[in-house]
Amino acid sequence: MDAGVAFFWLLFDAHGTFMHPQLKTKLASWVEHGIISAEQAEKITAHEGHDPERPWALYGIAGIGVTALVTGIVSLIAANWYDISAPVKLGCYFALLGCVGYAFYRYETRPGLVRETLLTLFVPLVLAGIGLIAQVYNLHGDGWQALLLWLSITLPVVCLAQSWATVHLWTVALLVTSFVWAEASHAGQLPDFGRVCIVASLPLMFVAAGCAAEHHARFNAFLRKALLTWGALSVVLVGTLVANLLWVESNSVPQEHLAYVLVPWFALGAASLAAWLRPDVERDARLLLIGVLLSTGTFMTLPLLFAFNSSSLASQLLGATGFFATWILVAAAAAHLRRKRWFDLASLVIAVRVVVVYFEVFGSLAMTGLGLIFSGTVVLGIAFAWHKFRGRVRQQLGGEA
Amino acid sequence: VNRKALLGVVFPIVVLLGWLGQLVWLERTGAEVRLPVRGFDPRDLLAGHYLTYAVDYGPLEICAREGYVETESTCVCLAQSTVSRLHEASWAGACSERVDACPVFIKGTCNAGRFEADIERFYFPETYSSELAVVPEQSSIEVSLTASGQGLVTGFYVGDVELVKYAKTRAQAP
Repeated sequence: MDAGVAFFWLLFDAHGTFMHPQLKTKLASWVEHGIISAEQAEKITAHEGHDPERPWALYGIAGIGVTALVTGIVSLIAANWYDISAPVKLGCYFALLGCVGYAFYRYETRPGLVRETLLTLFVPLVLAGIGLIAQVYNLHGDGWQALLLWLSITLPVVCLAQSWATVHLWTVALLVTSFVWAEASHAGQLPDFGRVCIVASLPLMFVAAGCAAEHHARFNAFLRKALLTWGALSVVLVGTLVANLLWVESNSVPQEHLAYVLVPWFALGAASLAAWLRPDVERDARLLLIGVLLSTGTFMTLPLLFAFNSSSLASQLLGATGFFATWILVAAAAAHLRRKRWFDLASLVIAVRVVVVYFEVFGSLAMTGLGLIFSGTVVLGIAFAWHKFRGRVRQQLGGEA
Repeated sequence: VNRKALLGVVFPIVVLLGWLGQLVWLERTGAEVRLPVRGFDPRDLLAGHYLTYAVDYGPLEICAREGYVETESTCVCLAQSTVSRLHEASWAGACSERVDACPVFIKGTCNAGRFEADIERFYFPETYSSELAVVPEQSSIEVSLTASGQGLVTGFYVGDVELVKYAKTRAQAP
């Protein structure tokens, strides 16, 4: 069978209904082993195939098409098609943007693949337009100004998204923009540490906004989840990593700039308050979430406030302890919130950090031996705990949340 | 009428059109000056699509003046040289100290001792990337300046020849 035909055979059943390939394979296997009957398999196929929320592969194919289209337009613009005058180039661009925008407007009330494809096309097209105008008028910037303009003017349309691609793109782009801004030469009169503090505040504000938006049914659910996911991921993954580096690397923040640390702490306070006020989340889980936020904040701030001797074993031990404590809290919060993926991530991060401990103490033969014994013991402990608690999470869950 | 969808679609288009209108207005109504430029290293990773250069404002030390603050807005008054017919700096200082006697000025900031006014880039067709790997000798830019000191590059010349014509000539040369 031709590879292309085989691919589409896997995606669609005999009636042309879309179906997840993995599910189709599994259904065939279950029928073969007598777990379900052929009729039941057909009913499942019919149900899954007509569920509008499921055709992820089709969305993926549409996504690839949109990506290719946008990349093509951006490449055309980047190639600076000099033989075509600027008014014609700009006119064609605005005509295209207007057409895509109008088509989206017409399809807005009809949820589905076409609507989401048009939206996913419209949002990057706006960025391509900013690039085109900058090119035609030889504008020179650090990049963040263009990104910030794009993020600002596309927010209203992103709030209408009913799929993940656009909201994730927008959220990640906002984080990237903050990094570009912090690195830029035209970032205002703030000192480096002030910029870092503002960048560190952004994921915390994501968490605060994501939690607070749970009270507002009209807030876009996809955007809310994207803000929460990227905010929480950045806080715990990047936050603990940076914090650990601050404990083992010498840092020299001028005393007069230390007040900027209040900015992320203000954001942390807002995130904690929003997490505490989350509806439909049990009290223990909320306390654990706040514990994760406070632990990360404290773990990051302490080495900045006190001039630790980074080469000392005590400093390294404190750094590692803070890291483990934070991630154990993450695992506990994940267990309470019944988030299997977060629980698995926490387990993996802790295991990787244990291996890093081994490398940290690597040096003399005696230290290598100690490191190996310590790492091995802790990894075994983690494996045991993971096995025990993950089973409990699975029992509570019965599926991925 | 779906107001949210209408706002979501129309808002970015209106903002982009407004920005474009502002640039067209600036290009058409600004005071035109011609400034010499020279190559600037290290070059951008995306070189081949645009030239990055440093503007030569003449002998006046713009960022080495007394009491200058790195991030403060700096204004540079421009006057046409009687010898080269190009413009050069006649006065530089904090924008708050600028006197009304210099109507043609450009606003920017001093960054690592170099004055930058967001006019240090010029795009060209990528087909000429090999001919324009470096900024040619005797290059100058044409800049349109608003009354508030904002600059917009409207042309790039090598001597008196437009950059693309210069690149075409070089590409056709045996």
